[in-house]
Amino acid sequence: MSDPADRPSRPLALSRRGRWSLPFRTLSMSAALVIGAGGLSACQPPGQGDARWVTTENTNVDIDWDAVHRAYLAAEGPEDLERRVNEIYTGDEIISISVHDQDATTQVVTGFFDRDKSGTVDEGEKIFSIQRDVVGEGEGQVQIQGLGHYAGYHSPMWDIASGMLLGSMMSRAFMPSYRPMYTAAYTTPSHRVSSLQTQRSAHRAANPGKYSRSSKSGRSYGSKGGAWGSKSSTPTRTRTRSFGGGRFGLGDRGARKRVRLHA
Amino acid sequence: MDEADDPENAAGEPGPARVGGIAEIPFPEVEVLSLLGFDPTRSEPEMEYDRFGHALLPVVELISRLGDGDAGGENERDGDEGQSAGQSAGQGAGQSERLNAVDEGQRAPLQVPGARVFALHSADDGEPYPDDIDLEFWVDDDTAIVVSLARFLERRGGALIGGARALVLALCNPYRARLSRPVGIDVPIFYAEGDVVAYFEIDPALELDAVLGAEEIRRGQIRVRLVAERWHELPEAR
Repeated sequence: MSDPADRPSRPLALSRRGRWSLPFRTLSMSAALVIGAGGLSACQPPGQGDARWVTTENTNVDIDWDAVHRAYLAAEGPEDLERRVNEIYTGDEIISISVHDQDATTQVVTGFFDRDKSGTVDEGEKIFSIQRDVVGEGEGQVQIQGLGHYAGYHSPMWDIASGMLLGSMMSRAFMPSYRPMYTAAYTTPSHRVSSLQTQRSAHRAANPGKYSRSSKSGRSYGSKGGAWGSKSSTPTRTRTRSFGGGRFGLGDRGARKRVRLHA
Repeated sequence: MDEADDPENAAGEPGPARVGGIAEIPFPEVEVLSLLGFDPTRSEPEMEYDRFGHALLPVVELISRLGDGDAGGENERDGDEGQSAGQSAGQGAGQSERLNAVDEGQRAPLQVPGARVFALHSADDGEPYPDDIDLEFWVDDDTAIVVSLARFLERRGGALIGGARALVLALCNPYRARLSRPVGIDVPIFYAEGDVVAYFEIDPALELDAVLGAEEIRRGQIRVRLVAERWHELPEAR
């Protein structure tokens, strides 16, 4: 149950031509039924045949919007959000983000495929936007809207409160001393895309069950069930999973210059 | 020449990061798993970890590695040698539990409830002191701010404790300095000898891409462990 990719209600793929006029979860179930009845080819654009194997963009893969929402709430900053979003996205492309504080209460995060490697958001590259509004003392709202191929998806208006467990990117908005940090927008630098790619590859390698589905480009990111996170009908697992954290000593400081403070 | 002692850089002269004094060192409160270096893709510790900050944990487990016939494996209460720090804090029950994952040859964890954890870093090649530790804060790619732990705790510690019942220093102590209680901090303070590394034991039922944190720790679904050669306790001020 631990892997959201295992949720049966999530579709394998959605038609590039289709527009989502139904609520997301309803559509997800519908798509899953179509796939179950007709197989993967039922979702391929007609006439493409084997062309799917050479497709370089697979924007028709599903995005787990709930996971994107959770990632935004948990993110420690834009770079952390980039990492999280790309670990959620199951396609080949790297999602760049732009974080812009429009004013003291409203922050807009735009996800986009930086196809021209310009490091800027071009209209045709957008795939989603997240708007966060502080609506009162310790209270806020978040809503996600799909763009481009994902246009038609609108999340509910999620309420957030300062008492929730939030990453620092979100929680700082509720601090009395809060000042918007991204009035000049942060945008994923184009040179960071390769490191995001490396980071995500490592994540996929460590979580093969999460990326078991074929994308439109026909790639498979692993087989299901081989790793923690996969579902099991037999409740025999009592062991915990172990993860290493940080070590609290520092080695090679590289080019950093030591500056001692006495007071 | 040690640049930290270079007169050009000493005495709080602002470096490239423009940190002019101890009070200006960025030391934020951070979500606990991030603070301690949790990464769902990694089972091994991150040895090049340089994040710092603080967080309040519902409970943290301190683990002392067993020594070779010496006292190195005992959690130790300074000034009261031989007593269990856990028992002194009323945490004796349940500590006979065997460890199952962190490493072999370790004694039972000492559970510290309501702990404010300071994630700090010493330099492996720092100056040896018998009773203090040089902290390093890598505030950017150009600057390593160096400051005495004692001074840092005196200037910043007391204001950050909040309602915590204990202070735990996640900080390597390569020269095994024996620390004294800083002014302004009254709760028990736990510090280590040798390297300190964080580990996480996570219930398989938890989704790793969910927002995980203090609530899961409180429910026992995540156990946060700090492993060192030996942990010491400075009992609360009377």
